[in-house]
Parts: sequence; structure tokens; C-alpha cells
Amino acid sequence: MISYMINHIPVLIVIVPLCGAVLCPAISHFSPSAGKRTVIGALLAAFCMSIIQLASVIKAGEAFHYWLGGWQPPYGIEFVIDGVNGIIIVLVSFIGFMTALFSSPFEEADKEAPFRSAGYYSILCFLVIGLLGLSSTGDAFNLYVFMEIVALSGYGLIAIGEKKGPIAAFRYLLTGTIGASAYLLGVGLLYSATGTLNMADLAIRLREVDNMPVIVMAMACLIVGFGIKMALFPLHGWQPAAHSYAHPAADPMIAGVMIKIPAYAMFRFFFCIFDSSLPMMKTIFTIIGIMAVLGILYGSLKALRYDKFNKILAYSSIGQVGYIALGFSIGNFYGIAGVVLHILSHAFMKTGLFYTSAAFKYRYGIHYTDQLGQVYRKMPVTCGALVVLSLSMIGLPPFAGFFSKWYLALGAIQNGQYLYVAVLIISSLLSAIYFFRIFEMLFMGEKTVVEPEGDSNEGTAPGLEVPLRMLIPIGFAALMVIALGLGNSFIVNGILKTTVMGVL
Amino acid sequence: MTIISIRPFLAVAVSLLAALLILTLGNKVKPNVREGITLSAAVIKAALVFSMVPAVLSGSEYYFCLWEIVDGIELAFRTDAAGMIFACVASGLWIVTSIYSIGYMRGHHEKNQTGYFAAFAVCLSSAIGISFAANLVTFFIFYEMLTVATYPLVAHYRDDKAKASGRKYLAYTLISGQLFFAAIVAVYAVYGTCDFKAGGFIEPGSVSMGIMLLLFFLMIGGGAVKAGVMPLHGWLPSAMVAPTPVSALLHAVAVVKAGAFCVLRVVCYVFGPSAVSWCGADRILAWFAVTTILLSSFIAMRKDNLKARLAFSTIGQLSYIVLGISVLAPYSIAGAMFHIVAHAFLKITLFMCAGAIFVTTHLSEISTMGGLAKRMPVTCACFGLASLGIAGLPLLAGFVSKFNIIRGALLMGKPLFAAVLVAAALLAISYLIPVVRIFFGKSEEIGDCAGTASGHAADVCGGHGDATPAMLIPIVITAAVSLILGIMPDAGLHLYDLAVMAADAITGGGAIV
Repeated sequence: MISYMINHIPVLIVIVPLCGAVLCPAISHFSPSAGKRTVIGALLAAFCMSIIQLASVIKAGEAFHYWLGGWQPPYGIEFVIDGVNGIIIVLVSFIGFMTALFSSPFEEADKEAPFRSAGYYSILCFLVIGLLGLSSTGDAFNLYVFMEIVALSGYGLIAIGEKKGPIAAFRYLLTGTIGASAYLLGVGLLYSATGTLNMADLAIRLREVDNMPVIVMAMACLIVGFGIKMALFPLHGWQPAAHSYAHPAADPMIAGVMIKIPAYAMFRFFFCIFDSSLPMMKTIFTIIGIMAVLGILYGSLKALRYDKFNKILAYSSIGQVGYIALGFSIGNFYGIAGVVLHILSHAFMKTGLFYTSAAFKYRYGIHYTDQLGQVYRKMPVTCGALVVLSLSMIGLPPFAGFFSKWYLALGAIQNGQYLYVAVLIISSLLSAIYFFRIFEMLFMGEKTVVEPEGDSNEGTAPGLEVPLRMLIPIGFAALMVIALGLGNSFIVNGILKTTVMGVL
Repeated sequence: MTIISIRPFLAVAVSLLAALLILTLGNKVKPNVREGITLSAAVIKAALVFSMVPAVLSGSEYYFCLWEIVDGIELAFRTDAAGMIFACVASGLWIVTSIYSIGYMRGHHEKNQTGYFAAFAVCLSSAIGISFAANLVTFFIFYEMLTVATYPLVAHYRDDKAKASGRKYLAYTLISGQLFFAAIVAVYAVYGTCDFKAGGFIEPGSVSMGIMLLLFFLMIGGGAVKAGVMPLHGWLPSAMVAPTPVSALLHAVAVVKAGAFCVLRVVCYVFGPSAVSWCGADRILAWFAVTTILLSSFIAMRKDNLKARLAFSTIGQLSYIVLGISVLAPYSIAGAMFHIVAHAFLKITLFMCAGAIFVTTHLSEISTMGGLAKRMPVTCACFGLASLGIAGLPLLAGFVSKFNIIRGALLMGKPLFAAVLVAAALLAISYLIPVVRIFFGKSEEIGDCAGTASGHAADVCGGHGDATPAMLIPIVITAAVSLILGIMPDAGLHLYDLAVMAADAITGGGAIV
């Protein structure tokens, strides 16, 4: 029984949360809190399974192919798990579980309107399902399906956020649909040229295709598609509003993880499928590099102008996604190692920062940084985590942000791309400006934190600044940033080296 | 011989642990318990560091590797002679500064003491990490930790002035830190290693002169900013807004010495004397140092605020170390390293006296301190002794280091630098001795606090005594040590021997006493 289950883990990781998400509204009809717990439990199970999956992939030393329904490719859909997406699946399921846990004080089960909170948990779970599937799949059209699941869930979660949520969601819907269509167009072009949708098969058949214009067109469509989903400059227009106004408890997932997985998909296409020895790839990567540099500078500079905490973090993300694109443009082992490490570390950093932002909103209704006056006295743990996460974002050792910067810089210098090193440094310094401004408000600001009317903290155990279900994710995010920093070599050497070197 | 031992790592870790304890427990336990944590951590750390001296003196090194921190580079500690010097000074003086801090912070009824003592602990941890780092990456990690940990100390008072000087401090240190980072990555990419090696691992001619100069100055920028080499010294005078124990620590022990130590590591353990002189960087660095020494002395003479005067004195004295290193002679390098010790004890005495004067009499401008010696004889006597030491008078620690640097300069055929050092000694006399004369001269209205801030408790002002014992004893200790080290440089921890050993290793055995 156990071995049967282990054989099917790749699909179980997607199916178990799917069952949870679908059952949640039904169960909530009888017992609202049970519905919520179904989702949380399903995501926890997915997390545990993802660890088992990663362990077995590392032990086996080669990629794991799972054929859905037993139907073989190139007609059947397959899930392919290797070192790179193994870690990403662990990341997504872990943060999904943490976010669901974190959401519970925000969306207390409500006997009068059981479907409201049930709907929230269900959509959140679908978001995680989409991301998990997106990371696992080895089929180009299957990727589109999961990408749309992610997008639809994202629209929903943004729309139920703050007052401007629906508008932000609508903007995202328009641009996101264009992006998804671009992706579909690209895949269509590739299908017309090769006759297959399976990624491994595409890789082989593309080498034999003579029709260069089709391939270039397909690449362009894919860059636009992924670029919109990733919020890569200049395709980022939807992102700041969407990340600022999303539902506060789902925002960590949206801002920290949802924009990263399309970046992973881009890695799959441009490094594993397309022939990277083609001369035109150099041009493509240079273009991506230019977009990356502009995005990094734009994001870091724009973030200086705003006072709204979430807006600052959103523009910072545009810069950080630029780091990932920069890594693609660098393209050697250290560049890709930097990219994967950055996906992992930025996921925890941004997620953690949005957790703290939501915690401030929950406790004191703080949206703007100038409302943060000396809040550390009341919320020490949250502010401590905020300090750790911010220092990591700036790229200071010994936190994770520094090490991904190290690999990217090393890769850039090995390739002679000195401009990229300069851009990384400038971005770090600009981030230092807006994060230390936040510190100044946090620790030295005029005291403006006022206890809101009534008891905003009911339901919290006495002595805790926010409920434990919120403190634990915040603490974990900070701890993971430290652990990823100090232990990055285990990931790079242990997991990435074999996988990435095999690909490059 | 290399001894594998966890002691270097423990020396770093003990104060990190103390910082964590202070942060979590700080507001919940009595202040004495919190201070007890600081003091016990300081004593344990010093004990660990001092215990490693005998083996290092006999030529061995302690080595401890935690794990691989990035692909191909380990988070490793190695106690060589140069590192031991800095570590002994830092850990020894932490005990002294902690006792002094307790007296100062309580005497001044300071707020936010928990954060203060926690940040202090992290600073010391970083300082020991810097001294024992075995490669550039480990070094850089602790170097940036030092920057971040000293920021809350500089901005301690949390008013607008503190915020502004904190920003200035961060601007200088973070920018230079990032350039340092770029240089480290470049060196690793080109040479494939970044382990410190006595005499350097960069061969002259391995890259073009222009590139080597670029790499050198990117890397030395990090050290030069923290060491206050002009024109990168701007953060130091404005950092004076910090409480005096912070200034004592920043300007005698942790930050500035870390900068000087960084210069030492870069010039002697990364590039090496041959590469540095091949590309001409030593001459450029030496001239920056000379300019700093002379210019800072002139500026110091014009400052009426005691701490400001001492700040510019520090800037000048640190460039003695930089000059000694850039002369590249065995004697001068040994002298420079010993000056790390000598200046630490001398300057910390001066700053602690300034702080004691401020807490006891609320005076900060020199012109108002006439006749202070009548009220605070011990403090003023120690101040006088330390001033003579800074000027380089024989029998005090400052003479030993200066003499060696001058000797090295003369032996290398650079008499101009020797002349500069002699001139600087005269300048030091001219900005410190007048202060002593004022102390021992005609008295002003000090005894009854008339004209100074009113409304303070009688124990602080209007009393008749010298500084409280918590502040006075550390001052006397450091002044005494400066005297002892001047007479017998090898007393106690054999720091002079260590300096000679290190200089020998760097220059491959030029003849030294």
C-alpha cells in the first residue's frame, strides 16, 4: 500500500489538495471550522509528500517520470520531477500550508455565512494546486492548464481584498489573459513545428527543425507570456496594484510564490527545451538581460517613492524578479544556481514580509510606514522577523539574500558581464534606503501606534502580540531565511549541481 | 602546525548567544542580571581568546571549519598571529568597556539599555569573527555584521541628529561594503581562492596593472572607510552623537580597528607586498595616509568639543597603521600591528575620561573645563598620561609602535614618511597637551554646576567627587596597561612578539629584533 502510494506521489501531491479544496465548501455547510481544517490538513499532507518525493529524487540521482493514467508520452501527460522542481514543489507546498494556517485568524469560520470563509480557503487551495501542478508538469499544454488555475485563483483572491481589490483584479485579469494567450500561441507554434507537446520530446524534435522564424516567434510569445506572469519589466503593469490590494492573508502566497513559478517554467523552456547552443539564443538572453537590468533599477527606484508598506514591497518584487531574469541572462552554472536559490530565498523573504504586513494590519490597521511609530514595543517578535527579512532583502550576510547575490555576481564575472555586478550592487544600496527608512519608523519614529477601538486582539492568548497561528509562519519565514543563507551550499552542491550541469 | 579546535568559533559564538539572551530576557529581568550576562560573556570570550595565545606564539595555528558556506569556500576560522592581536585587544577591552558602560548608562539614566547591550554583544562577536576569519568570504560576513550591529549604537539616542548620523554612517559603510563585495567576487573568479595567506596569494603580473589597481582599491575601500582614511572619514565625527562608551568602543576597538585590520589583511594576506608594490598601490595608499595624518591633526587642534578633538585624533592615529602597512617593511608592519594595541588602550582611556567628565560635570567643551583636575584628579591624570602616549613619548605604548614604523620607513629608504611621523607626533602634542594644561590650570565654576544643565540629581552634579568607581576603575586599568606595554611591550599576552611573528610571516623573514 505504501509503495503504491510512493509510486504515485507526484500526482498525489496535486490530487490531495484538490480533494481538500473541492470538499471544503461542502464540509463547511455542516461545520465551518472543519472545512477550513480540511484545506490546512490537505496542504500539510502535500508538504510531507513533497519532502518524501524530493528525498527519493536525490537518492535516485535522476529525474522521476510519472505518467498520468499510465498513458505514455508523447500522447499521455507526464509529470517530471528532478532536483530543481523537487525543491520548488517543497517550497510551494510549505508556503501554501503556512499561508493557510496564517489565514485562519483573518477568516474566522463564521456560522452565519459559512461559504464566505470556505470560499476563501478553497480558492487559496486552488492557487497552491495550480502552482504545484505548474512545477511538476512535463507537458506544455498541461502547463497552460495549471497556469490558468493559478491565474483564476489569483484573480479571486485579489478581488476579495481591499477596497481597490476588484479593480486591481480586473487589470490583472486583462493582462494575465493576454499573457496566457501569448503562451498558448507560443506552444501552438512549437506544436505546429514539431508535432508534440511533451517537453522532453520537444527538446529532441526542436533540434531537427529548420524553420527558424517559427522558433523565434515562439520564443518571443513565450517571453511575453512568462514575462507578464512574472511581472518582468516592462510587462509588470498589473503587479503593484494587485500585490498592494490583495486579501492580506493571501498576499504572501501571491506576492512571494505566484510570480516565481512562471520564472521556473521559463527556465524549463529556455534551458531544457530550446537548444541553448543556437547563436540566436545569445541575442535572446541579452534582451532578457536588458529587461532584467531595467526592471531591477526601476523597481528599486520606484519603491523609494511610496509610503504604503505593501506598495514598497510590490515594487521591490519587480526588482527581485529582475534578479531572476538576470540569472537567466548569465546562463552558466552559477547563474542558474543563483536563480534557483533566489527563487527559494525571495519566496521566504517576500512571504515573510507580507506576513508581517498582514500582522500589522490585523493588530493595528497599519497600512502606511509612517504609522509604524515604535510598534516594536508592542510587537517585538514581528519586528524582529521584519529586521531579519529586510536585511536579507538588502543582501547582507549571513542571510539568504546575500548568497543568491554572490552566485549571480560570480556567474556574471565569469562571463565578463560586469554591468550586471554593478546593477546588483546599486539595487542592494537602493533597497537599503527604503528598508532602513522602515527601520527608522519602526524603532525611532514618533509614537503613533494607537490601540484601535474595541479589542482587536480578541482570540489571541494573553501575552502574544498576534495569534500563534500568525506568529508561527512569521517566525518560520525568518528562520528559513537564516537557514537558507547558512546552508545554501547544501542545496547548490547537493541538489542543483547534478541537475543543472546535466541541463547546461 | 595546525590545531583543529572549536575554540575560535566558540569565542565568536559566546557573545552572539549573550545578545540573544539579552534581547529575549532583557526587559523581563533586573538590570543587574542583564549586565551580568554581558560581563560573563565578556569574561568567557576573553578567556577563550587568551587561552589560544601560547600555541600561536609557538608557531601553531588553531583552525576550525564550520561547513561550506558557498560553493568552494568554507566558513572557517584560523587564529594566526595578526588575528590574535586584534582578538586579544577586542575581547580584553570589551570587559573594560562593559564595566564602564554600566557606570555611564546608569549614571546618565539612559533609555533603551537592553538594545544597547545586545548590539554591543553582536559587535564584539563580529570583531572576533573578523580577526579569526580564514578567508575573504568569512571576513566579509562578519564585516557586514559589524556594520549592521553598530548602526543601532550610533543612532542610540533616536533623535533627529542620531538619525542623520546613522544614515551617514550607513551610507559610507554600506557603499564601501558593496564595492568590497564586488572585489571579493572578482578576485575569487580570477584566482579561484580567497583564503588568507601570509604574503598574499596574488602574483604580480597575473593581471594587468590597471585591473590589479582597480581590484585593490575596490577592496581597500571597505577597510579605508571604517579606518577613517581621508576623504572617506566623514562618518566618524558625526558618529560622535552616540553615547561615549559607544565612541570608546567604535573609536578604539571595534569599528576603526576592524577597518585597519581589513587594510592589513588586504595588503598583506590577499595581495601581498610584492603585488602591491608592483602595481604601485602602496605608494598611493601611503600618500592618502600621510594626508590624513597631517590634515586630521590640524583639524583636531581647532575643535573645542572634547569628543570631536579625540575623533580627529583617532582618524590621524589610524592612518599611522595604514602608513605602517603601506611602507611594506617588516619593522613598519610589526609597528603598525602593535599600534592597533597601543592606540586601542590609549584612545579608550581618553574617550572614557571624556565620558566620565560629561557624566560627572555635564561639560563637553574644552574651554569650560578649566581647573577640572581639582575635582577629578585621577581622571585628569589618566588623561594626561594617555595624551603623552598618543604623542609617542617613550615609556608609553605609543612610542614602541611609532618607533618601529619610523625605523621601517628609514630602512626602506623612505625618510619622508619618517619625517611625517615625527611631525605628527609634534602635532599630537599640540592638540592634546593644551587640554591637559587647561585641566590642571585655573579653575572655572565647576564645583557647583552653575551654568550647566540644572535639575539633576545630586549624585551626578554638584557633588565633589571624581567619576564613580564603575567608570574610574576601567580608566585607571587602561591607562596602566598603556604604561606597562610601553615599558615592557611583551608583557602579559606577548602582543609585541605576535606582531613580530606576523610581520615575519608576511615579508618572508626580513630581519627583526
